[in-house]
Amino acid sequence: MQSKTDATPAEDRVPQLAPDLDPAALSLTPAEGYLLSRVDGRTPWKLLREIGGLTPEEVDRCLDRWLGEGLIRLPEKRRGAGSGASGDLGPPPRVDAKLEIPVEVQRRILEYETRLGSPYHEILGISRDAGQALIKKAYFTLSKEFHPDRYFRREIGPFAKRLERVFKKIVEAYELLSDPTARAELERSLGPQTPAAPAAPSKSDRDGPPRKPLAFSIHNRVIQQRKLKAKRLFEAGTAAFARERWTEAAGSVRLAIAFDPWNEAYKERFVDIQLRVHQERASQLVAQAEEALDMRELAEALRLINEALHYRPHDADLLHRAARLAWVTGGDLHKAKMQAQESCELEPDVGRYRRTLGQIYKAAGLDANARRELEAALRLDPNDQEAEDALRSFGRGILSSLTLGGKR
Amino acid sequence: MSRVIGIDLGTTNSCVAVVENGQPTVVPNAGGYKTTPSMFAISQDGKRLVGHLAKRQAITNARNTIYAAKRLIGRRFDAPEVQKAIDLCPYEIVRGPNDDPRIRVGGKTFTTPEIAGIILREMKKVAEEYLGEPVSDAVITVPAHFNDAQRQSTKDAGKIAGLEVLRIINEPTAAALSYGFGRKPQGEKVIVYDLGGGTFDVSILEIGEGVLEVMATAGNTFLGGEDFDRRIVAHLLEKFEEAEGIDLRSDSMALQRLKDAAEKAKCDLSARTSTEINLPFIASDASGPRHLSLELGRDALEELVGDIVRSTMKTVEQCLRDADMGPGDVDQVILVGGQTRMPLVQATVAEYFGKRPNKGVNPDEVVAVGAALQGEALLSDDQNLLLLDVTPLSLGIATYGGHFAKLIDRNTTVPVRKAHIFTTTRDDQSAVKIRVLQGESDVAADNDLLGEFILSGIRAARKGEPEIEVSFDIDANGIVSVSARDLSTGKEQSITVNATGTLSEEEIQKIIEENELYEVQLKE
Repeated sequence: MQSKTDATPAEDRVPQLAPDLDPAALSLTPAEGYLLSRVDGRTPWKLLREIGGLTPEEVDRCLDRWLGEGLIRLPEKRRGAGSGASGDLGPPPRVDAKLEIPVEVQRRILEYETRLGSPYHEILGISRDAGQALIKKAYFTLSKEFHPDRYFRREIGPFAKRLERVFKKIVEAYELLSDPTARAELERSLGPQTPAAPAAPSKSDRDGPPRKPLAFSIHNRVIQQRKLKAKRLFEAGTAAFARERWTEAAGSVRLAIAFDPWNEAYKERFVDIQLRVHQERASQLVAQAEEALDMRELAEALRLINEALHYRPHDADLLHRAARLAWVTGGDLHKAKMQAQESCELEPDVGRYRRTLGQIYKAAGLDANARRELEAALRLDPNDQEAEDALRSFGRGILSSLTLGGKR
Repeated sequence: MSRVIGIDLGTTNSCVAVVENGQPTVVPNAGGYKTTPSMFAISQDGKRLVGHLAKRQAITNARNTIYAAKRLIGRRFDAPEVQKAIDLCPYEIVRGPNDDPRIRVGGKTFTTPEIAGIILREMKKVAEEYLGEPVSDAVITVPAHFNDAQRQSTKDAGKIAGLEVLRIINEPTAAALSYGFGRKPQGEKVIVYDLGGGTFDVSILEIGEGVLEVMATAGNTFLGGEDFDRRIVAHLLEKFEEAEGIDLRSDSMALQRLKDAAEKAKCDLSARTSTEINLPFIASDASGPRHLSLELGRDALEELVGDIVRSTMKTVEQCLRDADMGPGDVDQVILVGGQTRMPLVQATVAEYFGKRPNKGVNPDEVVAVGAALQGEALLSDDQNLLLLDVTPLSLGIATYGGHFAKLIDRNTTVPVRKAHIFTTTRDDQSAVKIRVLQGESDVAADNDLLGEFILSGIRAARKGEPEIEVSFDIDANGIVSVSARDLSTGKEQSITVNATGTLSEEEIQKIIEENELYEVQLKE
């Protein structure tokens, strides 16, 4: 099957009773009365023609006349109005004092039910230009009154179905009015905002050219909306960036990109922010590490430096600090070696980097390498006492020289 | 009115709460603990053990001790999560007659709802002992990303435990209910980050005017605190093999000890920066017994699991996107689940939102409290709390070309009705098959089939002309009915989609009867 989004032809549309209609006050023939009783907000025009008692032409005339008189209305199917809930609503509405639901609430439900075909803002009891906050407030208030959970496990007879029907309509109204694009479209369909008498749709209106398929225009509008959302998020991100809230800025801009992946400016800004976030984070961590060092918490300092390296992976100074701390605290020598090596590759002419690498080689038992690096360190900085001591220690001790020999 | 209890049926631990004089209370078990391990075992002498008793003997009886059965409930045997569990669990998982995973311990095979039922029965008992009266009504929580089958299986478990399950609600939603209790927030937007033993969920809710609206929910089935433990265990195994040359992977007792030690070390490292793991006599070979002893630093742990923590933020982002919000729009951050005690998790979340998580809720108890509050809200007369709950997964039908047409998006408030018009794809097509699916993939075959039916007698017409209105209804209890109507003839066909777990009604009844027999045996 394929989706079909053309507007529904008139004969497939579903007439419903006007909200304030009092059938008792009308003078109708029995056949007309029967027809009116079948106008239940669920039966389409086409089916009403076939219910018997009147010919299809008479039904058309009758319904057209009632439309003109405002007894019934013919909402657009696409707006969902009048399509109603499936399932039988049971016997005709009347209140029942025996049910576990107050009679006044029953009345209110029945009254509400007659208005389910009204424009959505009327369903929520708000004005057409109400803002989002008001829409939500109305929705919450009505939910408290009409949510089926209010009468969970209560014996409420046919009102269970009615309550559900009313609540579903309230949710529908809330959802559509909270969605800017859907709301704009509703506004258009409602026409200019003047309290005009409900004019009967003329025959030509109903038989007019079918509307352009909605699918395409909606798609475009959805994209527009997403772009708008992206813009809003991007602005929030930029504001956060200005307030130096880097992480929040990154989150907002990343979302903006998700909504509008076509905008290269967002991506560029994101890269900038990401860089700032990383720099900032690394600086924080280094500052914390320095505090830890002051407190002689070497392991904590090492952890912080290693984390900082995550954000600033090719910083020779950080690499060197991490390697040296690992060496001093007897941490992961293998990792320390890699870090020391990288620091020397990045900046081969810094004596202390070479010295640390040498010391690590030495601790790992790689004495030839150790000697080479320590000598390099001394060449670069002849006053490096530590390197000199380390180098000198090779000469001493039978064990180390034996190991040295063994290695060769 | 009899009391209603709220049960947080967790992967690792479970918790039960009641509302007394309008105040929610977490009920301690006989041992005085507010949470009970979700474990079940059959001891060497054939006794059935639940909770702490089961946990205490887990090390010496690993093959007959069941934990984390929640990871299996409502799933098919061939599901990747089940296959993963088979590789990792010391107990035996076998294929059941309904292609469901079943667990063999102590020479007997148990279905997963049965195991969950045994835990729920224990929680029911805990509440009954505390209240001094029988309890039958319960609200049970599940992870937000649980699908229909998993929810129904949890309901079945409740039935097996002798409980009338009023509602199944989402864990993060329950947490938010608990947060909102007694507060009068006006339009406050709350995000719940729920990292439990075996599940990860994020929900965004708005609280105001005594109403709690779920705005968006996202989750990850493959993620939870146990993954953290597993990383530590793998690390320990590696270190031990490096040092001693012995591979402990096939030794179920050693694995259970490692698992316990890993969990404990993880908890220790939430408070300290370093901890020692000592497991004497973990193995032995020709040269005598071997011991495992090593120090694990917080930094090492964070390196082991850092990527898991980072990956949770992707889910957070998805949830924000669904709610149409940015990180700056969130007013409160609530952390739920024991794993959120980890400083790295707290720091990562705090940094993302630029604010500290709310400290007012207990991450282990908040979910059970929320469940009890929802039970109370449903049954009591003065209802000052209304939950506007949502569908966890999208619903729709399969269309031409194997596509999935969503009619109800996930996170839609229930009850709800949605309709859409479809048409035929061939000339003079007289019937259409409506296949009702649940899931998020655009490809029909990737989603779960909930039911199907045929609408026939469509008036002969060229393709694309007939108008067939397909409507979905979900009632407040989450029951889905689908109808298709040919608008030109008025012909209609509909089904109520019966959520099915992994067991049939008869199988559930049989298990209940067997358990009753068992209860009688115990009292001898």
